[in-house]
Amino acid sequence: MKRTRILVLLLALVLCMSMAACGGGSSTGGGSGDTPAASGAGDAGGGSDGAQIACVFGAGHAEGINDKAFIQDCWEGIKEFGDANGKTYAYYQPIDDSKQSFLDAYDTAIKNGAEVVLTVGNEPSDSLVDATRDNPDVKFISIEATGFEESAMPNHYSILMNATDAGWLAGVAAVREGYKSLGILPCVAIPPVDMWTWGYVQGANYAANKYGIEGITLQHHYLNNWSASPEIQATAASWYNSGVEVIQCNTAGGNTSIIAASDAAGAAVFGSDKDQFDEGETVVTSEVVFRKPIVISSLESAYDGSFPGGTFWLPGVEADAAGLAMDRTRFKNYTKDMYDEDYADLKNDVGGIRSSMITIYDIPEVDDMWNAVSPKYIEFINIE
Amino acid sequence: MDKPEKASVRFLTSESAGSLIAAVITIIIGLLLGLLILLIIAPTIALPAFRMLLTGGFGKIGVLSGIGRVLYYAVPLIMCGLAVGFTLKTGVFNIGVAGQYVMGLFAGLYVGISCAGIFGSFTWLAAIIAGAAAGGAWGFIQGVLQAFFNLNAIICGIMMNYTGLFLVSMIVENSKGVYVRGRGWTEIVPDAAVIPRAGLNNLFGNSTAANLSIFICIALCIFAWFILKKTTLGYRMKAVGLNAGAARYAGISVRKSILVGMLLAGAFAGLGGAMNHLGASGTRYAITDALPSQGFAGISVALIASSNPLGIIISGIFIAFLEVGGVGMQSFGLDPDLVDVITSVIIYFCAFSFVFKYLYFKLAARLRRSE
Repeated sequence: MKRTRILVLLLALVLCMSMAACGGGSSTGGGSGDTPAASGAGDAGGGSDGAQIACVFGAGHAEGINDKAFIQDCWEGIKEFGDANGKTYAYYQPIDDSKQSFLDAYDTAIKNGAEVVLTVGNEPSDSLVDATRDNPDVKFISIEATGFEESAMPNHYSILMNATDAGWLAGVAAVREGYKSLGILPCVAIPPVDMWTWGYVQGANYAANKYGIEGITLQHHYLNNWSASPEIQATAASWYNSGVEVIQCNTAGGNTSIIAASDAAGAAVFGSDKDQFDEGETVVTSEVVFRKPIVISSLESAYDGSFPGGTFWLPGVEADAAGLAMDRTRFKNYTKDMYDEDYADLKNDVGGIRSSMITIYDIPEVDDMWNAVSPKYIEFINIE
Repeated sequence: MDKPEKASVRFLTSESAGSLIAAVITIIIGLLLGLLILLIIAPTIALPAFRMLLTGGFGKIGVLSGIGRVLYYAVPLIMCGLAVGFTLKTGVFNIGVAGQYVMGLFAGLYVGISCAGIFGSFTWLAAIIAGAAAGGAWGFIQGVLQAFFNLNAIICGIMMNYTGLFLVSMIVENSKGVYVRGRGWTEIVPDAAVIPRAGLNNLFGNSTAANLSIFICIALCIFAWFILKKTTLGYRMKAVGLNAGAARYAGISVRKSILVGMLLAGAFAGLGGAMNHLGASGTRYAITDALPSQGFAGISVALIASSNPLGIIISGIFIAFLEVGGVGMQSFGLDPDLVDVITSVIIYFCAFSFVFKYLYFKLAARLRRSE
């Protein structure tokens, strides 16, 4: 009987405490009224309620904002711009990758004070048509969304990084370094990802031809996954086991899994998106597109009245927005001088290298882009 | 004591009231721990951020459009929750919901995209029926493996998830007219295959994605509750769930119960997938090697509701409400994963729900005695 009484008392206590605390929580919140921004400014990663710049990216990126790849790169640009110009910023990851989820995320961001919405990745592509139409006063900047090359709304600035250039330089470097068995592991078959691949294949082909190197083989496989996972690591490990010497990884957050496989096998790997030298012991170099300065310059234009709305930009080597991370590398044979020479050749379009390169816009009737490119134009390396 | 008071006492001392109270307590504890975590990681903004979560961010996005949004995101959660909860009542832990969900969404999209010419304005109906059929078939196969070959339900479910996922990837990639080559996803869903808004856009505003599917969800939950509560079939299934050996001894076919349970659960999950992708303005399916999260969220939804089909409606809407609030919470620079933390804590404490129930009934017994 006594025990029962204690139990009942305990239960009552739990109930009362939880009710009180819950009520307290909401009433305190209510007490601060509709101005929580004041108390929130500057905390938790620089974000605050009422953020003026909103970064929106796909829900499928499990690593979130710190993916050590392209999302983080853009986010760092936003932070740098925001801190320098006194603008608040926050990021919004929608509930899932559906068009509706993105529309809801933009809506939440805008109603919470966003003036500029910067989307990262290809997932928002579908939603941007509706979003730019329904929110004419908000400026949208999209990095890596596709479908806006021909036309975009006047409040939409569409940017696609020309990764073909960076991939080309990596392909040349791989062959000149002396690798014979090359592998490419991209995440999914979408244009912003395929660009790296095509550049890489054509660069390897170019170098094999120019320097008369024979017997180069190349393998390619879509992982259909862009987050770090044991499956990706297992695939990469099996490739290294079967004799692949270097893998060009191109799978956003999943890069770290390929790098881990390379470290375990003592092989070699090319990072991508941003300089991934520190992510592993065997990262030889990284193919980079410099999104951070591009993000900063586009945000500057959004605030200084020169916003190039309705236009499309494909920044590559001509804007010094693509290349290899050559400050720190683990190349044995390929030197900075050799790189500078290749970079200059590409930038100056020596022998029509750049102008004759196959890009996503050269294959109008898209069938399987990868198959369309490889057998037709690649003569000097073997595609497996 | 007059009659109505007696009725209220009877309700308060009933089994379902105990479950309800236990669920409420676990939810409150989950929320409190969420608040505690918020206070630790971001003390200055914890309270406004928590308020944003508790109000679903409705303060900023508007109550009506907020409700519309919650009802949209609740659909796959409720259906997957029902798929888990329904089989749990028959003693099978259906962890293969994600696979059934993928099969359903694929069949729905396939019919929706390629058969718009045949079914006209009823394409959406044909498509969600196809989704239910495909999900049901996938669940049934799993049921057969369990009932006739005695395979472990967990291993079987997980393997069937991946088999379903890769099978769908393979079929999608080879479906001309459905798959967009070079883009890795399916075509846009045609208007005829989009589930009608059923007037909900007039109620919640044009930007809302809430549609007819929420009514279908609720109807199916009531249907499942009816089967379990009011039919012989449901009685048999529950008997198998409580003690398969005793049920078999009493002449109940355990195999049949498992098969029917898995068939219906698969159909629920498949329908959820189809309705999620054909709702709003339609959602493309992108080829992926990752299982859809809704399949696993369904487990949380079912556990919070103690597998009660009517409770699943509420817990599904509750989780969707937290998700919508979680998106708003990001305006404070907070990670939306906090919502997952809170849901997880609630689930952990669901394990204690029997303790809460026990304590509650002690209290209720005292209440009755003091009358």
